[in-house]
Amino acid sequence: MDSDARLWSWSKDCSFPSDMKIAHDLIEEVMEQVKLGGWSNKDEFAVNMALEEALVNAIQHGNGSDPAKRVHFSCRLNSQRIYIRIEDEGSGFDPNAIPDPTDPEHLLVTSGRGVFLIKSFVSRVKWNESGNVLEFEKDREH
Amino acid sequence: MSQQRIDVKKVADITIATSRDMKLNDDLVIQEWGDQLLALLDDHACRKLLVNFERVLFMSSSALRALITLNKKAKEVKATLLLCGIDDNIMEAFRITRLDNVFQIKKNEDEGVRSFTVVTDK
Repeated sequence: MDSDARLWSWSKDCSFPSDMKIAHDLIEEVMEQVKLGGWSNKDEFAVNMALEEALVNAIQHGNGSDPAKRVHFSCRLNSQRIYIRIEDEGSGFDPNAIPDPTDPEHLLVTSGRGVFLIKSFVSRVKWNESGNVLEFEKDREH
Repeated sequence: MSQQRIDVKKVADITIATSRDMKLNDDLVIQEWGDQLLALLDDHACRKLLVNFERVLFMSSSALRALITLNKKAKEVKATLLLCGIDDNIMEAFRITRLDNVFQIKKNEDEGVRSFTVVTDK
């Protein structure tokens, strides 16, 4: 992911305190670039969903909404692909330990859908070993 | 003072709650929206509830969580809950999470109202 050889038309690197309002402003900024790139409504939605769930995870679950902890964010975008890297300052988690929310046993459980939605809506996703760094790419499909 | 997140109307014995917000992803908005929907079921006269999403273009997993809580309460008070007007992209999130098997979902408000006469609890 994030190959040096790839030509990106837009990029952003920033870090910010654990505040969903700041995160939502950042999502708006990224989505504006996605729109400018002429991505389909369906692809836009997929990027928006993955960003929303990833930043909620980083801020609320990773950093425990502690404003002293920061989120480190990188985005690379071109007409065919978007790359996102999100790092929180929490102790991490094991994404494979989260029960499958589509399992009939867990279908009515109120939590655990965020990671599943990220995996479903993007093209490639990976966490680092400790689980506090998420990278994903979404290819333009439509 | 919380903001009004739903518009409520009655069609015969059916309560129709239309979500006002285009995005259901902010914690405060979802909390208020969910609380206002739950409060409808506190009224014994509300045992047929149709939640209309025709204005909603984005919904996070937090909003899905609020809907699961609403579904649980509907079952507790023996109310029938239907959803309608769900955008195609949001519907994909329902399908992916298999919540389309949990909720009874109708295309639009008219279809939702009509179906109350034949619907049975899932």
